[in-house]
Amino acid sequence: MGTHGRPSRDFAQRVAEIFTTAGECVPVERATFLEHACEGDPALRAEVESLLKAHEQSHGFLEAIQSSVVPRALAELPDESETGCTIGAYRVVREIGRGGMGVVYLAERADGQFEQRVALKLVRGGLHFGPYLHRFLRERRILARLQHPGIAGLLDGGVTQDGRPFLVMEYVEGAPLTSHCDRNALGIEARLRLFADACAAVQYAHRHLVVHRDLKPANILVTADGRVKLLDFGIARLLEQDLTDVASTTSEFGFRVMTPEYAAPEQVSGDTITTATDVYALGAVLYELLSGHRPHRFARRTVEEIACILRFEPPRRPSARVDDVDEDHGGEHGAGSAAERIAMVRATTTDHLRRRLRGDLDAIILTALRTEPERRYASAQALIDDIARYLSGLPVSARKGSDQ
Amino acid sequence: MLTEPAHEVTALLVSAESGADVVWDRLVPLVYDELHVLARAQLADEHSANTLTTTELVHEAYLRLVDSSQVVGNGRQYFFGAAARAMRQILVDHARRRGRQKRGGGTIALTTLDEIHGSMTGPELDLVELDLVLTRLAATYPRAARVVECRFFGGLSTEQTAEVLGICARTVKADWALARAWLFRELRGGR
Repeated sequence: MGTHGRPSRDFAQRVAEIFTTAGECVPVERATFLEHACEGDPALRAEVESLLKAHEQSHGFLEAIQSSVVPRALAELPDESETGCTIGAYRVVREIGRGGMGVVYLAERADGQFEQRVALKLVRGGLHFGPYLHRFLRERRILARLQHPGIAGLLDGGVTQDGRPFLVMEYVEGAPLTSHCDRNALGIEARLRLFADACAAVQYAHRHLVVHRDLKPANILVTADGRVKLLDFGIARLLEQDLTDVASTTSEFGFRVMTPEYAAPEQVSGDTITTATDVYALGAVLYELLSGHRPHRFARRTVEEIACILRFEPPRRPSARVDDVDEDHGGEHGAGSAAERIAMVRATTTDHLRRRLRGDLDAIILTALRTEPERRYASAQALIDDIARYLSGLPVSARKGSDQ
Repeated sequence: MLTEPAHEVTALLVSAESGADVVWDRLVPLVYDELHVLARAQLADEHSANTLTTTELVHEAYLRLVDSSQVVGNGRQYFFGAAARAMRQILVDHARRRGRQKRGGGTIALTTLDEIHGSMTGPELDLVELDLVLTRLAATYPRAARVVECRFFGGLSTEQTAEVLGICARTVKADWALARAWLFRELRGGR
C-alpha cells in the first residue's frame, strides 16, 4: 500500500481475511499467525494490527450508538416540519402535496419584496445529486423560458444548504380537468374546447423542444374562472437527472416518472421519448374525458404486463365503453347506474353519448392512441385541427384513408 | 386494495426478480416516503413511550407496500436492502437538519457512549459524521459497509442481513467486526 491514496481492493481483501482469521485465533497463536500471514509485507501487518487494536476497544461501539441515537432520532421525527423554514428566497407556508419525487409546499417570498404565492417542490433528500447539478441548472434555464398562459411557469430553483434541489413554480388553484368537467356537468363540446386549450399549451412547449412526459388529468388543471393550466412541464425529465447515471443507457428508461394509465408504449418499453409520447398521453386523457373510462386497465401494473397490453391490445373504441362497468366507477351500484352517471355528468344520456362518440370522435381518439408513434397525429396542433374540424361539422382527417 | 405506491413497489420488486437493476433508484425513494410517513405518524399520534424501532418500522412498511402474493424469491430481500438504505437517509437527513438548527450549539451528543464506555472520551459524534465515514468505508470494504447499513440503520438481524446480501451469517458477523473496528478507528482516532 502506498502511504497516499486508497488501498487497493486486493490489499483490502487480504487485510479483511487476515483480520478475521486472527480474530478467531487464541491469543497465544495470534502473533505466530500474523508473522506468517503478513510475511514480507510490513504495511499489511501494520494495517491488520491497527484494526485488531481498534477491534479490542470497539466491542459494543456501534451497538451503543444504535441503541441511544437511533431511537432518539426516531422520536424527534414527528416534531419536524419545514413549515416556517426558508428555502432559498421563500418561506414555506404549508405542505400541499407529496409524491414519489418529493414534497410540494405552498410558499411565499421571504424577503417580502412582492406578494407572490408559489408552489415549491423539494426533491427528497439523500440523493447523490452533486454530479448532476450542472445539468439540472441548465435544464432549469430551458424550462424557465416557457412562457405561456396555459403553462404554470417555472420561476426559480436551486439547491438547499443540505444539497437538495428545489423548484419554484407558479401556484395554481384549480381542479384536474376530468373532475372540473364532471363537477360542472360539462357536455362533450365544452369538454373538447377545454381539451383543445390544453393541447395548445402542449404545442407551444413542443415548439420550444420541451416534452412533458407525464401528462395526465392531475397535471392539467382548470382554474375557477375556467382557464386551463398545465403543471410540471418538463419536470419529469429534470428530476430524472439526479436519479440516473447520465452515462448509462437506462437514463432514457421512462418508467421512473410516468403514470401507467397515460404512458405511451415507447415510454414503457424504454424507447425514445418524443413529442408523439405527449400526443399519446393527450389521447388517453381525451378518451377518459369523453367516455369516462381509461383506455386500459392494468391488474398487476408490472412493466412487463403494461408493455404487453399496450403493444398487443389496442384500446377499444370509446363509444363501445359507454356501457362498461369498471372498478373506477363503483360497480356495486350496477352497470346501469354507473353508465348513467357517466352520461349524466356529460349532460346527456347513455344512448346519446354512445352515438355522439361513435365515428369521428372514436377515430380522433384512437388516432392519437396508436401504438406506433409515427402513425399518431404528427403534432398536438394536428390533433387540435381535427377537433376544430369536428366542432365545425367538417370531415375529420382521422377518418380519411382509415379502415375503421 | 393496495395504494398507488404499494402497486409501484410491488411492481418494481416483481421486475427486480427478472434482473432489472434500475429499480433500486426508484425503490429507495418510495420506501423512504412510506417509512418517513410511518415514523412521523405513529409518533405524532400518541406521545406514549412506545415508539417503534427501526426494525418494526421496516416490517410495517413491508406489510403496507408489498403484496406478498406477488413478490416471491429475491424481491423480498431487495425490499429490505432498500428499506435499510432509506432508513439511513431518513435518520441522516434528520440529523443534518437538527445540526443546522443548532448550529453554533454543537451537534447531537452521543453521551451514552461515554456512559457505557467510561474510558472512552473524545469528540462528540453524530449520525451525519457516521454516514460520511460509512461512505468512505464503502470505498474499501463495500460489503462490510452494506452490512452496517442493514444492521445499524435497517435494524435487520444477522440472518436477515445475510439473506439480503446473499452471504452466510458467519460472513455477516466477520464483516460487522471488521467494519466496527474500522469505523471506531476513524471516528475515535485510535491508531
